[in-house]
Amino acid sequence: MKPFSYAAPKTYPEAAALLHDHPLALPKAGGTDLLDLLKEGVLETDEIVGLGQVPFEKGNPNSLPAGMTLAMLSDAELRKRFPALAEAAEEAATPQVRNQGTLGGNLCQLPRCAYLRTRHACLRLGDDTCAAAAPGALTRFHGVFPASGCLSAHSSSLAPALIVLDAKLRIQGPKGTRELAIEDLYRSPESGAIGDTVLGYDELITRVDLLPSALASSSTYLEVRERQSFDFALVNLAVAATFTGGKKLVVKEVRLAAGGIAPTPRRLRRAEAALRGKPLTTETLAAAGAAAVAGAQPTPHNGHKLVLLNRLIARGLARLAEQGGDK
Amino acid sequence: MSELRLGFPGNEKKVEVPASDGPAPWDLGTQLDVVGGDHPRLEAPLKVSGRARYSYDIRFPNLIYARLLGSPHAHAKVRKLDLSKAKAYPGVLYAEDLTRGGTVRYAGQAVAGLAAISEEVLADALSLIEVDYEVLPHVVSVEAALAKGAPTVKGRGGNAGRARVRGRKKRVEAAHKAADVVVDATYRTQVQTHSCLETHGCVAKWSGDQLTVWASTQGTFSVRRSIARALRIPGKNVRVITEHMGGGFGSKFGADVWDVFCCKAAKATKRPCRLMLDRAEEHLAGNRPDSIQRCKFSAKKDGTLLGAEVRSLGTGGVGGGAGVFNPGIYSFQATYSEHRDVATHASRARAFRAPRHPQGVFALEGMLDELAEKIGIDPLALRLKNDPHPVRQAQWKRGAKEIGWSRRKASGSGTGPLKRGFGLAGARWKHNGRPGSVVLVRISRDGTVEVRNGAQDIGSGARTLMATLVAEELGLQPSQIEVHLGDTRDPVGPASGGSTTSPSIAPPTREAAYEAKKALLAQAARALGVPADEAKGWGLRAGKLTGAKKALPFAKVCALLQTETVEASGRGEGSDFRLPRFAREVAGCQFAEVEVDVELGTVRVLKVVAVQDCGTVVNALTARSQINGAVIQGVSYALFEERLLDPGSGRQLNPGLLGYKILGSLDLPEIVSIPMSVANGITSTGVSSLGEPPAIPTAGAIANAVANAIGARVRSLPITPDKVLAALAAGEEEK
Repeated sequence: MKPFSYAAPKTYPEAAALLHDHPLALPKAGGTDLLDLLKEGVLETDEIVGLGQVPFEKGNPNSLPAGMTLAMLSDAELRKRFPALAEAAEEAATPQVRNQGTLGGNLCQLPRCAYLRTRHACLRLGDDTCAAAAPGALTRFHGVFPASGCLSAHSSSLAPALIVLDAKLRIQGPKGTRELAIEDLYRSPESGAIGDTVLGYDELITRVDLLPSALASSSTYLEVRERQSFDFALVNLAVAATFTGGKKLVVKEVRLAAGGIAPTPRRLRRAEAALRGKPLTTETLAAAGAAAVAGAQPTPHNGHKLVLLNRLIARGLARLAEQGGDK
Repeated sequence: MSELRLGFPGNEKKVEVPASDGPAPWDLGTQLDVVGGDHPRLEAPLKVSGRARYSYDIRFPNLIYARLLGSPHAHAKVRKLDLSKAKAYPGVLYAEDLTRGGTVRYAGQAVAGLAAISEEVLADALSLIEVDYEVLPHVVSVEAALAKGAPTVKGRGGNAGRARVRGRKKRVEAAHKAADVVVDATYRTQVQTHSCLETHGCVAKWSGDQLTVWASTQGTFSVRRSIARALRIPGKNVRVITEHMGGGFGSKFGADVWDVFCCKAAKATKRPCRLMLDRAEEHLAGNRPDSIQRCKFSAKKDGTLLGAEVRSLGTGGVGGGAGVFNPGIYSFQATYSEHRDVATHASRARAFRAPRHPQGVFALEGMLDELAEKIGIDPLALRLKNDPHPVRQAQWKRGAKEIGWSRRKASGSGTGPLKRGFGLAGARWKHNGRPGSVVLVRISRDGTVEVRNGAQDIGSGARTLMATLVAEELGLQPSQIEVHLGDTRDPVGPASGGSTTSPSIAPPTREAAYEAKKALLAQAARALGVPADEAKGWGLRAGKLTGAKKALPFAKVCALLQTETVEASGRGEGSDFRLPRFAREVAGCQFAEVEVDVELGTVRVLKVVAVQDCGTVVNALTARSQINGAVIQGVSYALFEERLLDPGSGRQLNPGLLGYKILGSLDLPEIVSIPMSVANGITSTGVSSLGEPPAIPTAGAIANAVANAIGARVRSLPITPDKVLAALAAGEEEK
């Protein structure tokens, strides 16, 4: 690891100012991923702006400080209002990482790509080619929706949950704050840019605001991983849905977002459209599944991610339908 | 002559053995007081409190640090290596060019070494070493290595080694012809790395021409020998210390290039030097080779096994040893096997806990289940019909009862997305005790009992095993015995490979205790004025002198010593290791119960029952612990572990423990470990091999359980969701 200086500001405006003055500085929240990336030489910096000294109060369950740890998100009140978020936090990583990793850090993590993380050729790191796209590359864990040539898979568990909960992010920049819908945090695949978030180098997430609603409280999170102890999901999915009707449930409102399939978390709008207003039947679920994977470009090693996405959608809706019914 | 009762309750065999001067061999009739009980590891308090000193923990005030630089290329010629900038970096004390022959043949192969005053200086200086590589084409998989025009790994000829053939092809073909059922299938296994919790390496310290090495090793004496050879100094000048070590599994026998470099750096700088590998380097320091096993097995309708034909390939990288134990265990009418090692540009394979066996048994037991499925016979019945081993015959029944085999349903017959399955697999191993170890037992006038041997405890609980054996002989408790292990200044002991340590060390330990006891009692008799003839019937039991007029406590008996100590060496030679044996081989079997989510392809192992013969069970607690460890490693091999080498770069894509997945606590099944005590004979203690055999059947049993659960077979390890889903989809298509 290259030597770096370490600043520990006490407020977000101060932190943003420091980042602004040192364009190559990197912000560190829990540091569970960042420090590894620095040690492995994947990222380099001469200055780290540590956010651990910025105080926060967690009291309002509708407005979550970005510095909250994942462990703090596993909270009874949150579980009641925003079950998908609490469940996602509980599924993530290990107890140690959950005690250290933060809400803001989880959203801003680099995607998982073994090639990126072992310093193979990587478009994100400024190389001209992507080693994961080479013939014969091992891509069992890679995405099925490449974006701008990047095959990586984003593994945040919180992001899909916050997307279906329609969270708003408060962003601190050197000149003030702004608000951003979580869905707009990640660069769209169509933007053509390689990168993770639309945040400027001198911007930070400071809070995540949520609005309680019938839809939010009828949400859930699912993921499939190979190993139960500390593994990143092959595919994860957050679902929020309300239903009408008695015996035959009809989907009233629905939001779906998935991770592990693309360089950024993805909202599955086409699948939502296939479900909205439709009876919850095998045919509807098949149509939603087909819509979710439409346009996917799996590699020879990761076709199973399409199957998994399909089945998680069906399972997530079934789980909510069982709990919910008429809401 | 005397008579020995060998075997186990329900299957007893009487044999005659010549009388000897040494301790009378234990058999089914022997009453043992502490042997066979549950005895906590003597060093457990040190280990759980962090006070146990591993090589990793050895520090000196003026310690320096060393590291090697690995090649980023899988195959390259080193045109030029320039150390001058690195050498000139402040704090760098020693540098060496390690490019012997100038060609690197796997990514990460060491090309240079540095020693410096701190690890930070080292990291900086390593990046200043300038290497000019001529990059050459490489191959890292068996398929690529066998492709036409593939670059050759070992210079001349192709990458496929000579075929090792066993059995006769014509006979096995004839057996297939006579069969009612034939199964033809290909099984694959992955490369597994040892992933020792403590990585490889050592701390070296010179005093004049005397070298002390604290090595993380499973062979203190083999390290001493190889270091002496590499440095061209007499072995007597090298002292190797391994008080505690954090895992070896077959990867830590000799001094490696990094150990030798560390010793040289220490010598050149006249300062103690430490070199421990990091995790990425540890992944290069040994592995279990992969395999592709094309199998054709046949049987009669009644379940009689006929032919077993196996053609296998595997790569040990730039090394060899990729053979598989398949076929075996069962009585086939005819067998034929043909194996080729395939060279690739990957790091060298090393012995790994039961080399050849887990991968072979995974395919072998899969094939047996495929036959059973086709014939329509219960897999357990098929084993019982064809298993010649008297101990395993009993184990199959015991294990079946323990797992609840009767709950097993027809394959794939469950309803709902979560399907249960049951599977089983067997194992064999050699009784691997060997003569040649010497154990010293010293009893002092103050009542202390000291046991010394220079071998290491690889983790089996060797200290406690030795203490238990000495305690049995002296009528004491294991906690009253002080055992010193892991220092080559003490008498010679075995390297821990092939499950040899316990069976090799037990006979001389008992013998030394027996002889020391004789000497103690002789002096005590003299001191009490009791004639030698009368004292012949004396013994020590439950902390007291027995057979005498007064039942003196042990401490009082010791206080009678005229000399400061009595000591005796056990050599474990002579008739030991040559006594008759109950069965030729060690037997074991395991049963697994799994739950498979057929929608998501995920496998959970719910329970593993392991029944394992290990001769005399000396310490039931550590025996179970050893079986538990083997099962855990086996579950991990079955479901998670896999070294991934990128075909394009030849580099490992999962060099850390996040990507190289080892089972964690949430993946742990319930494990029922049943060490089965068998009076095996062989030596005066009857202790046999335990380290490796229980590591053999786990993956096979799990794979069979998965097939039973889902009604389709995954013939490739590790059994990951993508493979389960693919097997299910293929099964659907067949229907």
